[in-house]
This record gives sequence, C-alpha cells and structure tokens, in this order.
Amino acid sequence: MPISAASQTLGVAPAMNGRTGWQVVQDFNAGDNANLYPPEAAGQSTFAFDASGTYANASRMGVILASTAGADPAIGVADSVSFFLNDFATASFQWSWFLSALSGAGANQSSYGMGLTAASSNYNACSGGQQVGFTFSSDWVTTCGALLGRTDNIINCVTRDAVGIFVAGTGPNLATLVGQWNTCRLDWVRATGTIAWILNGVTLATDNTRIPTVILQPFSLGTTFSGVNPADTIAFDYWAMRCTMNR
Amino acid sequence: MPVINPQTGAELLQFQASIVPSNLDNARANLEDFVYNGLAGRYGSLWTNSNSGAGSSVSINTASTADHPGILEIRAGTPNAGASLVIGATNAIILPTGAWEYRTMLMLQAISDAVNRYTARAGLGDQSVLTDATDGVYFEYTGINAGNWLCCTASNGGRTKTLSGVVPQALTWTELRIVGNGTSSIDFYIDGVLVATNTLNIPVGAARATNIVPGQMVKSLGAVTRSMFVDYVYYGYSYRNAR
Repeated sequence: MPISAASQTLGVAPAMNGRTGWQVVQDFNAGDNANLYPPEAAGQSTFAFDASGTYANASRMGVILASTAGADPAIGVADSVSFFLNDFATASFQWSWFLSALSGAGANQSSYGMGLTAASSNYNACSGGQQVGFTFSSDWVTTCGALLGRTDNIINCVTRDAVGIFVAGTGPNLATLVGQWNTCRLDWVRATGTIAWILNGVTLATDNTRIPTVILQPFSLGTTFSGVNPADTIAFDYWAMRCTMNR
Repeated sequence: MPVINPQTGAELLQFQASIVPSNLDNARANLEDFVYNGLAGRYGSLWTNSNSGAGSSVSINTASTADHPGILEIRAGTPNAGASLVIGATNAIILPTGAWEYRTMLMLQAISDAVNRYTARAGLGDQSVLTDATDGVYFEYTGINAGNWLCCTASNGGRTKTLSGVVPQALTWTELRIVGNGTSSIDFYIDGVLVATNTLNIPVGAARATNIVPGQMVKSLGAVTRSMFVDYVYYGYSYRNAR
C-alpha cells in the first residue's frame, strides 16, 4: 500500500487514530533507510549501518554509525518528516545513542548536536538555523564555546529561534556518558509552549524560550570538528516520535 | 508522554508493543498525514500527482495550522479545464470482503459557483487528472445538485451518485468517511453523520481495482484557481479470514 509518510516508509503501522495522534519508530534496519537519512559528510566522514556487531546486538537491532576521520570532518543526518511544533498538542521525540570516545584535545576538539532542526539542515546549535536539542560538547572553542558561553564538556539544552540561541539548562559532563547507550528525549506541550529536555530519564530543563517557529524535522544529528584527525563514532539505535492533536 | 519509560530501559519493548497491530494477520491501517519535507522526498514514491492547465499544482502547504500537521494542497489552475489529481501509485485496492474504511479531512478554498465551477473528488478511484472514476467509491462536489456533497459508487463506468444533503462550507475542515462491511453496501459519513448508503455500482473484484485518491480538482468554468486542502488520508481494512 502506498501509504503514509508517517508510517509506511518507516515500516510500521500507526498505532493511534490519525485524528487524535500517531507515532512512528525508526529502528534503522539496514537497507531500508538510505533515502530517508541522506548523510552529509565532509572530510573522511562516513555513514553506514553497523554490520560488525560492535553496537548492534540482540537488544539493539538496526544501528547506524556516523564516523569521522580526516581533517575538519563533519557529518549530518536527518529524517525528512517535517512539521511545525505548534501543529501538535503534545509531541515527544526520543532516540538512543552511543558515543565511542570524547573528542581529542586542542586541535582535535569537536562539537556534537542532536535534536530537531529546521527542515533541510542538520542539527548544529553552533551555526545552524532554528532548532531544539542537545549540544553534547561545547569544547569547540572557536564557535560553540563563544555562543554557549562555556568551553567544557557539559551538556547543553538548547533552543534557537529567529532571534537567537538560548541555553535552557545543562546536564552532566559528556565524559560520564561515553562508551554506553544513552537516551535523549524532547517533550513538547503546546498549552504551555514548553520543551522538556530529558536525558536517561532525568529532566534537565523545561522552558518556553526561543522555541523554533519554522518547519522542523526530527532526529537530526550534526557533528563538526575543528581538528586535524579526530576519529569518533556515534552509533544510533532508534528514534521515535509520538504526537497528539485535536482534529 | 506514555510512549516511553526511560527509567526501566524498556522503551524498545514498549515500542514494539505499540507499533505492531494486534491483529496484523488480518487487518491493516494506513495513515498519510503529509508530514514530509516537500514533494521531492517521500511524495514521489508513494503518490502520483498530475496536473493539467496553467496554474494547476500539487504542493505541501507550508503554513502552520494547529492540530492539522502536514497539509496537501491540490490546486486547479486558471483555465476552465485546469485540474490536479493526487492518487496512489498503482491500482492496488480490491474492495475488501471484510470491514474497511476510508477517511479524510479536507477543506475547500471556496465554493463552486456559476463563475468559477469545479469538481472536487476524494475517496477510492482509478481516474486520470481530468476524468471521473471508472471504478471507485468516493465523494464528489460540483456546486450543482443543490450544492451537495455527492456519495458515489462506480463500477466499470456505471455510476450511482446520491445526494448527501450536506452543502460544504468554504474554508471549513470537514471529515469524510466511507465505510464498507462486505461488498453489498457502502455507507457515507460527513462529520460523523451517516448521509447515504449506496448499494449499486459497487466495484468488486480484481478487474474493478481502485486506489486511494487523496483529492482531485477539475475546473470547468472561470479563470481563478481553486484549491482543496487535505489534512490526512486514512485507509484501514480487515480480511474476512486471517492470513
């Protein structure tokens, strides 16, 4: 059946009545998503499904990898589903990720970001368009550090609208999350206009400042590196979205 | 949001429980909410759109509308034969012998009148951009026939069009439902109210296969474009026997 941007192309059926809401889950089963997540890469960055078993296992079927190498690498990946946050009465977005190692020091510093971003651009709180998400490392001093006001590895909960960037809160040091699976979640509530940032079940911040007003796409990753030869890998197990509405 | 329980780490299991239909072997439900990033993305592989005449177009509306994420605009162009059609890529639907439902929520930009006359259709059909369906089950609006939505069945070119008693209003979201239970009769609902039941010219069997038509707009008078806005299309069905 040629149906459903929201479900068919992701290989699942909607579990909810379309009038009141729906949900989608993208589990990154190899081979079915190449056109849905077109990677953008620079340097020697690569984007692939994990066939090694390093990350994918019985509990983590379907894992994609964003790997970086070479001078000034960058990589981004995003889904093509898009919407305005305000379309939904509530919406929740969740994804699971695994970072292989902290970025290098000095010339190999890097910046990561994940979340919702303006359609057709990858997440990059440091230089991108309107967005909401997590910036996982701000030690890329030249741009992110200046924007966010910090140059350590503390996680930032970030919104960005047409006016500017806003840090709604912070989380743990990225060093405590390296080498393990972590879960990020963003909850939108239209009645209050708020986003809640939730990391591994802990709410880091809830705020309604600088909420993006343009068309967004969920699960967008962006990494940029200022270094000569950083070699990091981020693995993703899934992303999921659920929304409700009153139509 | 109840979808996730990160404290337990059981989110994947919870997802699986919620995304797999409980009776996948004998039922399917499909929803198209038109929430993708423009026509160049998923649109092309899922749906076929065709246009005729200057100004005719199909596009994703880019204005935010609370509670109506993703809106498909089907526009009939300026000439009096301007037309646009969005239809599934292949004629894949043989009318189920079990229960089935087509549902959509749409809005007309303006009523059809003696100056700018058009025909709007939505439902199941096999038409081309300028034609009526040879086989289909659908709603039709022309502005004539007391300005009613018509409740239509078509089989091999024979058609039954029943007055619904409902006159559409411009710029007003309307829910249209077509419900079948077997192939002997078809019920038509507008905003939750049963408005007609057709028993004639119901397309049955592989030779009368149809497809999902989110919308069709065909101008017949006037020089001003006219649009239909489609919020979503849903089609669900069950098989008589589990498979």
